[in-house]
Amino acid sequence: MALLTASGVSFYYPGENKPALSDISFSLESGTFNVLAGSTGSGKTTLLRLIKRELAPLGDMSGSIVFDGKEQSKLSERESAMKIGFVMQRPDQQIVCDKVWHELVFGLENVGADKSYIALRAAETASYFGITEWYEQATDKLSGGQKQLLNVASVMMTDPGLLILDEPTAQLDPIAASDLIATVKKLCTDMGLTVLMCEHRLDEAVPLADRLMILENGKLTHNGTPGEVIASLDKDSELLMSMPAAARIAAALDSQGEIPLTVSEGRRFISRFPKADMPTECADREDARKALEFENVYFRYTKSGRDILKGLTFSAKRGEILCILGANGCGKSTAIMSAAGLLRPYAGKIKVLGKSIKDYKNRTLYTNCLAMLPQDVQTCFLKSSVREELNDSGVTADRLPFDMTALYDMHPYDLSGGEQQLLALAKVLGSEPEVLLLDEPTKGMDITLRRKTADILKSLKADGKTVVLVTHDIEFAALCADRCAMFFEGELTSVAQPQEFFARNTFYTTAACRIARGHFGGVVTAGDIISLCGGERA
Amino acid sequence: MRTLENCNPFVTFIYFGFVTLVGMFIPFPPLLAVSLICAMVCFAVTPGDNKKSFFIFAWVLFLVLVIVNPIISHKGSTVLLVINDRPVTLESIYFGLNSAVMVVSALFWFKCLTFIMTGDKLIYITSFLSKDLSLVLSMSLRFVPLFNRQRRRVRDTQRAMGLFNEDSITGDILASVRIFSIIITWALENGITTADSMEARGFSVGRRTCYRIEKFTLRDLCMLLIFIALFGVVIVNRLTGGADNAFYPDTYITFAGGDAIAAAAFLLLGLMPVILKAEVSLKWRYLQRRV
Repeated sequence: MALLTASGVSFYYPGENKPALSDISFSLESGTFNVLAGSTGSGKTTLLRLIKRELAPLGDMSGSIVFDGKEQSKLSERESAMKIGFVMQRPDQQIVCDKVWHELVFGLENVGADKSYIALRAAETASYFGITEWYEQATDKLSGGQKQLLNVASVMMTDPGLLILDEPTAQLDPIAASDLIATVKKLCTDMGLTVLMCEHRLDEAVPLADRLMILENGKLTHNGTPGEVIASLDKDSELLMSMPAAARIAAALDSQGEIPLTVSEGRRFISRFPKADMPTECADREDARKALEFENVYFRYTKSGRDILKGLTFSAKRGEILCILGANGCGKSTAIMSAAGLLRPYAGKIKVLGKSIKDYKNRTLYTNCLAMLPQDVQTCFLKSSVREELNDSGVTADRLPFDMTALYDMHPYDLSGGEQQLLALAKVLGSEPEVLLLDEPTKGMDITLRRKTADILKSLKADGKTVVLVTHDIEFAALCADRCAMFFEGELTSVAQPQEFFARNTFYTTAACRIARGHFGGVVTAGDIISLCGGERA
Repeated sequence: MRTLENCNPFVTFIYFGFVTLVGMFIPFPPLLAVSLICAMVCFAVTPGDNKKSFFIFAWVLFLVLVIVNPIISHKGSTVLLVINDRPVTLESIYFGLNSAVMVVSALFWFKCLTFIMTGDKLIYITSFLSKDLSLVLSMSLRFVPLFNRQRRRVRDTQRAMGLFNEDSITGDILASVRIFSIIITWALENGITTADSMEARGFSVGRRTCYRIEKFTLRDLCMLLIFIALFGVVIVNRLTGGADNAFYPDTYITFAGGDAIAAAAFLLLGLMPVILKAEVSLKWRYLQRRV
C-alpha cells in the first residue's frame, strides 16, 4: 500500500523561469526505507519540504501529493503536523526548549494532547531511544549525536506514519552518523514507519535502503532498488563514486548479476579473483625538518578533571599531510586546539616550526605561520556574502584552488555544509600559513567535495606546506594522508603510512580494506581492488 | 523526603515571597536582625556557584551603606561631630545600619532564591500565568547559553585563523564589533530554523497543553500552611500596633510581648530551609540504621 504518492510534481521558485523540480512522480510503500540522493542544488530539500506542508517553500507548485489516501491540502492541521515528521540538518537549531523532557513533549503539547497520554508517550519514547539517562538534562549539554537522536525521538512522540529526514547526519561524526541511520532503520523495521531520507553519506544508507531515488537537476532520473539503480548508473558518474565500496568495485568491473552492497557481499564478490598484493611504496623522508612537535604534553580542562592529553608526543614533518584518527571525545580536537595556542597545556612543550609556541609574542604565531579551521566552520564567517568574505581575507578569485564564482552572491550561512567547509578553507589560506590545522574538514561533504578537498591539500603539500588534520573520516584519510595516526586515551598509539596503517587495523579501517582482508594485500581504497581485479582504475 | 529545594515550586516561591516581604516592608530592627541571620544561614547551607565572591560583595555593600547615610542625611538630635559645617548624628548612623541590614538580608534571600529556583521551576510557575510566556521563557533559557558559547567560539576561531593580527586596543574593539554583528545574524538564522521546527511540529495548531511533572503533595500543603501561619503571626502583630519604632528625631524601639512572639515566629520561618534539611537527613540516618 502506498503511503505517499506524488504525481507530476513541478515547482518554480518565485521569479524563476527554470523549474526547481519538474514532473516528479513516485510513491512510497508503507514501512519502507527510502533514500533520496543527488548532488548539491539538485532540488532534494525543495522536494522534501513540499511533502511537509508546514515547511513548503513559497512558489508555484503543480501536480499532486497524496498522503494516506488524502490530498495533501485536505489534511487537517493536526493530521499534517502529527502524521508527517520532519528532521532537519542542524541538530542545534531544531531544538526549541531548554530541557530534554520539555523538548520531547513539545509536539504533543502543541496539539493539546491529554496530560496522561503525554506522560505515557514520554516514558516509552525515552525508554525506546535510550534517553532516560539524560531526560532531565539541559539540551545544550548534549553531544551532536545525542541532539539529533533527541530530534528524531521528539518527532516520533506524535506517532507519525512518515518520517522525512533532510541530511540528518551532515553535522555528525561518522560514528554518530551511522548510529543515527541504524536507529532510523530500526524504527522502520520495528514499527513499520515509512522513511524518506536525503543523505550524502550514501555508503552507510544505501545498503539499508529498500528504494533508492536519484534526483538530478530537478528531475527524478533513477528510482528502484539500490542494486538496480547502481547497475544503471554511468560508470564514471560522480554518484557512483559515493556508493558503497563493494558496489563501486562490482560496477567498475562490469559485473553481471546482483550488485554487492555490504562488506560481506563484497568479500564474496572478490573471492572469484586470484589472490594478489599491491606493490608497497616506500617514500619515507627521514631528513625532513619538523613543522609541529609535541613533547610530553599534558592537558586538562579543570583543576580536578581528568587528563585529556596524557603525555602526547608526536611530530609532523614539513611538507606532509598527517591524519590523526580516533573516536569521539578522545582528545583529538583538544590536541589541535593546543597546537593552535587556544588551549594551554599544563605540562610539556609544543613547538611550531622549531620555535616553542610560548615564544611567539603578540600573535605572531598567526601571521603567515599557523592557522586552524575549527569543527564548526560557521564561526569563520563574518560577512554577508561569499565575495565580501573572500575580499576580507585577501583572497582573489584567481588564487583560489577551486571555482567558487557561482556562489559569490550568496550568504555564507546559506551554503551547504560542504561548501561552507570549502569557503572556510579558502579564507584560512588567505593568511598563507605554513602549518595548517584542520578539525574534521570533511563534515557535510559529499564525495565530490571530499575529492576536491583532498586535491587541495595535496597541492598545498606540493608547495611545501604542512597539514595536520584530525578526522573520523577514514576514507578521506586513505585518500590524502602521508601518515596516519591513531589517537586513544590522550596519546597517539600508532603512526604509520596509510598502506601499513590500514592493513594493520581490523575495525578502524577503510571498507575496501575490510573487503580485501586476507585476499588482496596492501589495499587502501576501492580503486586498489579494482586495479588488482584487472579493471580500470577510476 | 522533600526539602525546600525539591518541593513544589509554588511552595518555594511563596516561602521566599514571605521572607522578603517581611524583611523589606517591616523596618523593625529585631525582625531585620533575625532576617539577616536566617538569610545567611540559608545561604550557607544552599549549594550554589560563586558563593564566596557574592559573600564579600554583600559585606562591602553593607559597609558602604552604613557609611553613606550619615554623610548625606543630617536629621536626628544627637550630634556626634561636625564635618564641613555639617552635623553627623547618631540617629542617622542607626538608620544607615538598619537599612544596610535590610538591603543585605534581602540580597542574601534573593541569592538563595536564584540557587533554588532553577529555570524549569520558574517555567512551571509562569505556565499558570500564561502558557506562551512560559514557552518564551524556556526558549530564552535555552538560547542565552547557546549565544554565549557561539560568541566565544567565533572569537577563538577568528584568532586562530590569523585574521585579527593587529595587536592594538582599537583593533580588538573593531574585531569585537564585527563578531557581535555576525552573532546577531547567526541568531536570526537560528531563529528561522527554530521557527520552522516549531511549525513542523504543530505549534500553530492551537490549544496547547502544558505538560509538567510537578506534583502537589500533602507534605507541600502542610509546609504551605506552616509558612502561612508563621507569616500571619508577624503580620498580625504589625497590624495590631506591634513592631513600633522610629529613628528621627530620637531613636526608640518598643519591644513588647507581641514582638517577641513575632520575632520567634519569624526566626522559625527563616530557618525553615535548614529545619527541613535537618529533618530529612535525620530521617535518612534513622532509615539507614534500620537497614
